[in-house]
Amino acid sequence: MKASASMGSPSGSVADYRMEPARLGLALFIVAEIMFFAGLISSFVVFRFSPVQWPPPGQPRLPLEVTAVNTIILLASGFAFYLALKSLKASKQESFKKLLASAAFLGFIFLAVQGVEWIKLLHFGLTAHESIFGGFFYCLVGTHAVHVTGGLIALLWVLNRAWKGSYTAQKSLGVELCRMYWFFVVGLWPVLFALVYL
Amino acid sequence: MNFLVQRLKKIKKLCFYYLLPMAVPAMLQACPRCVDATPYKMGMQWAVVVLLPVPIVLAGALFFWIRGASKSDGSDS
Repeated sequence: MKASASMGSPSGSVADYRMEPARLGLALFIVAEIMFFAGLISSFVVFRFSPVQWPPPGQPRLPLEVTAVNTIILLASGFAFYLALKSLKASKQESFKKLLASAAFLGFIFLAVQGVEWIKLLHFGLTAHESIFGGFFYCLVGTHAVHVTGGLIALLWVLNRAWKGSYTAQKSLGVELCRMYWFFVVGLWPVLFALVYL
Repeated sequence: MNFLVQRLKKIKKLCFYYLLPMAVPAMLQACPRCVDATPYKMGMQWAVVVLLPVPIVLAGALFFWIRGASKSDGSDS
């Protein structure tokens, strides 16, 4: 169902502008999320770009190589989702399902590797309450991980519906909304990786 | 008279609390607006550079996205 919003066109007539409310609502939600992350990043930047040594001495080294590979895995997940929607639009149902499942699997791998790395860092003594470095690390990366978890739940829900054959080339709003959110989560990670790990 | 004395005492107290931070530099440095007195001055400036354009960019992007999406949807129907 489409809701219409009227805006004056240059010719003076009232043109029929249409957009699904769900799409607009999700866009506004993502804008709010970007603002939230911008605030977190900005507070991190205060410490990161100061003449004071960063990371502070005596802190464990962050796993740069593993996380770089993990970043590629998450980007691959976003690409798989992009191809999945393309397949759906071309009415290739089998390819759509497989690519969607791949996107979910790669997202899960990313989350699992992040979890394992966190456990290792905790064992090495990097905790949120011991230093500002640890506090920022767990706050930024943890908040992103929570968002990936949310996106993964939505992705699994869409995958379940896709398996039941609920989506077609004409009826794909659910997949498109899930892709919007997943692209936000995937696009945000390289920024956080560059800021926190490099 | 008693009332006036009490008032004066209150004013003295207020003056003390008002002037105290000016007499103690450490308290002034704790003020978030006095970030120049800390080593995080440069970081603070970068943080402002990062955060300031975000709402404008987002509002602009949202406006053009809604406009573009609405127009293309409208022409389809």
